[in-house]
Amino acid sequence: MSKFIPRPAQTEILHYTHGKMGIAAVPGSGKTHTLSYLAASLIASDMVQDGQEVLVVTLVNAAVQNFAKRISGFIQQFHLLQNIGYRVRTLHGLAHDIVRERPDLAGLSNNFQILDERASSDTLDQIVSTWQRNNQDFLLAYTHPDSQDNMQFISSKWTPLLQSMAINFIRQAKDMELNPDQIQTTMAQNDMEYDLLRFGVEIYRDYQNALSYQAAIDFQDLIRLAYHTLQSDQAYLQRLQERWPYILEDEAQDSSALQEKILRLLCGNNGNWVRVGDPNQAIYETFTTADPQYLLDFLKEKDVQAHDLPDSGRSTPSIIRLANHLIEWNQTQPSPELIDSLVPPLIQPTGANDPQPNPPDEPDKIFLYNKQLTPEKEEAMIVQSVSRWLQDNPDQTVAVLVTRNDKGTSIVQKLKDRNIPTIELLQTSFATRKTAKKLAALLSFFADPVSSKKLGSAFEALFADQFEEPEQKKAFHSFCSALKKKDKLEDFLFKNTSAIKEEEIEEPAAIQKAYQQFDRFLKENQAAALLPIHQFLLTLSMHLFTDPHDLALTYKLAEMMERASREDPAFSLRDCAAELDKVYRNRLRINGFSEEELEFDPDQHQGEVVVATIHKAKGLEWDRVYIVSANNYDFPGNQDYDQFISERYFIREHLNLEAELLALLQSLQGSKVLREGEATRQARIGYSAERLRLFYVGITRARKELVITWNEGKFNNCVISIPFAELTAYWEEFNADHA
Amino acid sequence: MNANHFNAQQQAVLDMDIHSHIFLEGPFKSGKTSTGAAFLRKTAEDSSPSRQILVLTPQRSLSNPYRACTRDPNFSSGVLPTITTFTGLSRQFIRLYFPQIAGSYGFQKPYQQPVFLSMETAQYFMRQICAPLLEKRYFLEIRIDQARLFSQILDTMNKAALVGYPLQETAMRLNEAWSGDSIREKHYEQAQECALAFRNYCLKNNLLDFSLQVEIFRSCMAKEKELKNTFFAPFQYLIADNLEEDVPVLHDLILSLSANIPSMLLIKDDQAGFRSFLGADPTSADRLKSICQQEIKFTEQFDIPGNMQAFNTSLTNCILRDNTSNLPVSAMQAYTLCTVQFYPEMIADICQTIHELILQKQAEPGEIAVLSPFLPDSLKFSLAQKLQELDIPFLTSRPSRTLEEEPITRAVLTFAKAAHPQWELLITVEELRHAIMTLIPGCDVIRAALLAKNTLKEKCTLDHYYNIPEFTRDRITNVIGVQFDTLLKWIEEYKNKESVPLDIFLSIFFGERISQPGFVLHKNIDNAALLTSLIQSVRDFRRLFADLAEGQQQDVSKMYIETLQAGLLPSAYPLPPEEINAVIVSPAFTFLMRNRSVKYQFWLDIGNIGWWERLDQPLTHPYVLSRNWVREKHWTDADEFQTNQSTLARLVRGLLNRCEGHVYLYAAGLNQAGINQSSPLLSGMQLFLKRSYREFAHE
Repeated sequence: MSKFIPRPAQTEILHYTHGKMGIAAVPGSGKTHTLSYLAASLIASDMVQDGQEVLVVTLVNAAVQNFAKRISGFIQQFHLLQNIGYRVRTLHGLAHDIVRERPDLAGLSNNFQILDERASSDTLDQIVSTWQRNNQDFLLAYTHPDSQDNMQFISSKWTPLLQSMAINFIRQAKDMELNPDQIQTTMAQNDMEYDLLRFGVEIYRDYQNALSYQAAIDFQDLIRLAYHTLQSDQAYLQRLQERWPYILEDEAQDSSALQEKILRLLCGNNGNWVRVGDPNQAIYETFTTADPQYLLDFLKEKDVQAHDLPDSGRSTPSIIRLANHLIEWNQTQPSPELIDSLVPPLIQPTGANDPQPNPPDEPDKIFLYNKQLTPEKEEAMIVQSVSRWLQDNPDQTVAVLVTRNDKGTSIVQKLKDRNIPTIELLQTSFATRKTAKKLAALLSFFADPVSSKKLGSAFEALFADQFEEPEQKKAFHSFCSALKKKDKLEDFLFKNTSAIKEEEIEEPAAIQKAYQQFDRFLKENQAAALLPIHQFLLTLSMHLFTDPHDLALTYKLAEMMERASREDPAFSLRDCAAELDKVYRNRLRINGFSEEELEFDPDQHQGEVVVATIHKAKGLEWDRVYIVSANNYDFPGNQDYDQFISERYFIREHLNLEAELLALLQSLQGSKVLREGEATRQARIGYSAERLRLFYVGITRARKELVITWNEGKFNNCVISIPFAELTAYWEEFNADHA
Repeated sequence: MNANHFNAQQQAVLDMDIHSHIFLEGPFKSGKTSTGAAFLRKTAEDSSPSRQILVLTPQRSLSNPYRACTRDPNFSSGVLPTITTFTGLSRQFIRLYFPQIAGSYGFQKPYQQPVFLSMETAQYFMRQICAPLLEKRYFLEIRIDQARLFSQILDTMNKAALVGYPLQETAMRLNEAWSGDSIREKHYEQAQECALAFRNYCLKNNLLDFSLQVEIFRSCMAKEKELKNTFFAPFQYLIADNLEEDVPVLHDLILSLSANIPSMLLIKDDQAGFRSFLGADPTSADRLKSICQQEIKFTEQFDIPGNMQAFNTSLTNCILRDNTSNLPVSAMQAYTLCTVQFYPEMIADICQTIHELILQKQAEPGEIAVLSPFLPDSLKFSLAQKLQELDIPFLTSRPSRTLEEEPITRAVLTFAKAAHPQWELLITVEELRHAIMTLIPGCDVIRAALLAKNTLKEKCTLDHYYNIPEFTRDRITNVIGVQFDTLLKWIEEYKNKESVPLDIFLSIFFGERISQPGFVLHKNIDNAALLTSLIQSVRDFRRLFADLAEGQQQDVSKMYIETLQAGLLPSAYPLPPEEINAVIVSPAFTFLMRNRSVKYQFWLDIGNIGWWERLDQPLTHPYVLSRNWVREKHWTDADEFQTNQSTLARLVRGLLNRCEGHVYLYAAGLNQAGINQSSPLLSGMQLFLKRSYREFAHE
């Protein structure tokens, strides 16, 4: 790791020794680097004693590894041992640590289970389906009169809406620390007879009962219980305060109510807490209690030293100019409600002798394409452009940023059709699915060990990575095909390998070697098939993988399979293989631990194109960035003619039912009860504001080149988004002025 | 050590007046038990039929040195000391006086013989009693399998009896100390309700589980003076060893006997107390000093090299963050710290080092122990695989594991089902395939699958290999097929005879078939030990039902299999004799409870938090339910932390006290979940390294 030479604003922060400090940083200002260096220097300075740790809290898993790696690199520069003296966690990870150490305080046993997003949404889906079947009157009451004639069809549209309403209601209720009984009681005390609230509380109760029945908790419970644990045992809190004398919090603009409370408790009255964030990059607020206001308020507290990190060396001056114009324009933008959504400070390009200078300016590398395109045409144009650009710039990095996964998947397919090396940062990563594929193929063989087809598939899944050159690939696949047709597998497995070599394999040496390795692996591990399924998986994993991501993923899968075996004693190897196959085929979502999901480094992927949602692209940067679909559906401007994803056509008066439901929930804690439709209007403002910031985040991912396009939408009813139209006009004017 | 050569401290004890009370304490290997055995020889010379000797130890295996002593040709002829445990003593008393005392304790059939329940048979009845309550969604929110649920309820009952408070008080005591979620309080109440229902059932059916046995015995000792005096009158000498591992109620008994027994040698290891989760109480044992005229403390440790003692002291000081003593340079020679990135590397390295120790340093396998906080299947499998590859004999011991989880259990029971079609217990193809792979060494998964698929007929009938079409027979090969037919032939011959109870069936199947050359148990002593445990468990079960209702053995066998499949935690059966020369692979606490030393120890994954963390017991609490707990106090984080710290220090001290040569510490960079872990043991080791670096860097 190269030596870090801080610029003056960063140096000021690195002088920190104790107390509370708040930092407002702009994109590319090196806040992660500065915070990592600060952590390392605190450890090196003896302010962190034996047994103590600097606690770093960040927002997403992707940032955890990144932080850990950087701190570890700096620590080595201080000639200290790595991995000691710090702990980097997301809020979930931190909550897990807190609860895991004293599960009894949270009413849990040592081996408590956390349902991941998929498992909890499966549980919820069942409950919602039952509720929907039994509450047709509710659906009718909210269905648009034009759609009521076709209720059978509309019912299928209701299902995902109800699921989404339920998820958000439960999440928010837990954030507000309300349980179903408390909600019910408050409703009764205030004579609040709302069908929407009744829906929320009934689903919430059934969901909690279902969790109890499985003796599990969900992610939201984990955070709630961590807070409860800290509150309930002063001695434990004190011990943790002693263990973590310094708290460094990154992405503080997305801090939620509970995160704020947990960290305040851990910090204590006179503790040491550094919070860094950029309110302009708050993009996780919709239907959550996350709010950049927490950071803004913190910066104003009287015992807080407030600092700015305004200089950014990431992008060319032209890209910075565009991003800054968006902020400036926003102060006078047509929707006054959005004025506070994107605010100064502006990004300052670095000075002449800056240790991390901006790339040289290339205004002609900015393409703001404002012509109307169909979605298909837009995608084709992007693919064509990426292909051409990669040929000319094989040592540079490029990303296509989308707002929705389905759009990303469609673009990925088109890129792959053109044989363009593509990496997805979308839902379940390809690497995760590949690991699941290997395990599924192996288990499938062990469930039916006389099937040559399954043996061939297992060999193929395990070793395909080793044969990627076209000729090798061809030979490998033909070997696998031949293997799949063998009549008598026992002649081909578990024999003296030299005998096999002579009789059966007339293949390149590399394939022979791989096959012998495979044969040995099966021979050594076949007896493990006698173990319980989850232990069998762990045994295979131990001998199959050395990558921590694969090990972690298999452990997670093994836990899932253990749960399945407990619920159904007849759960067999075959069933287990089928479940894993669903993960591989992306029919089951699972959050993996692959590089793409944990510590993605764009610079490791030169000459390839990354397709990512803007949310997943946060914290990353590429030489060239494409932003697609800059229309008023993906980036609405709070105008009457805008389309909003949460306002379904089949709901009467196009109400945003999620927003209406959550507003009712908030009114239980003293907020004013809004008249119907008001929450829908307010949600438009909130959503438009967040989308504006998302657009800003997208733009600031680019180092040198930026391409923005828009399309007319699936139903040809979208127009160019206001911020994009404004940027296009500005850029034309700017170019004209400088021509 | 040589029994005839004693050091000055030991000799001083042996020279003391035999008719006095002596309290002897010291660390492991300081010669306490040897002194006890010599004291036994001395008392034997002094004893007579009216002046008998009582020797008490907490568990049977700990009395081996005393039993060995009585078998010595020089031991006074005709003297037969009573060597027993607290359980044995109380059982003997109750059996003797049952008709006299049963009525007053609520037994409904005082004139019938009582039936003593083992841990397993008690679980069986507990399951029957709890079933309707579980239907009513009791314990809904606890994530725990049923076998552990029942064993924890039984454990709570045992603790109440051993400490000496009424069963009705357990929930209240646990609630008083609990400061968390109120749902736990509901579970304590539910557990107590189950316990009381179980107690009523026992009283109604003349059953005595351990808790009832202790409760009655304790009460009789307090109230039935005449019976007590009669029972203990012959005993004029008492030797009680390992008192730190024994229960407070035994300490009470000894205190109460002090006036009646003129000769007492009371022995305590002052660094042990490993069975506290089973009710052992070293603090309570210290009360016995008050009745002793002599208090002796041994300090010198035999066979433990000085460098190991130095490492022991330094490492435990580091764990406890104690700065008091200097670090001797010799401590550095006692251990090897190995850092690896992954588990497989760790396993391969351990097995290779063991191999080298055996080959190059002429170490015996029995002098080596591989220890970890837990021993999950995947870890055990991988270790076993490597050790087998290197032809190193090994024995595993995992007492908290259900018998049903062991492949060997499932395999023999599959063939037991085939031998007893009258049970109508189904065999699946997968089950048969697993059984074949387990019992016939060298049978691979393909051939096992072919055999299973082609020989399993209706329900549980098996066909012969030679009846399979020739093409498939060729695929299976004669070597495997003939082995299978040998098993089947034996089963068929058995079926032609009158069937016998399951434990006897298993014993014969073991002896006549699967321990023979060509079958799995011929060389695999680990599986043989597991099968012995299974046979013991079935025998207990059968005897219980034979006592309750004769002539139903067949059904009992079937019932046992069904109970086993529902999950049954085994009683802690003793490990096979120490004479077996095999590497011990076991959880660290299990190793400590065997109370034997080895020359080489391997500690697996010292970063694992399991080295520090207390056993998860949501329905009970070893410290809150102990006699030392101050009522109405909350169990706080500080209590939890301090307890875990001192337990870890005691564990480390205990292990290193039992290591006569060298200890290998393995720190794996990533655990099985691919996560970097840190534990107080690893931190303690880091601090040790730091201190040693500070002190000896210049050297």
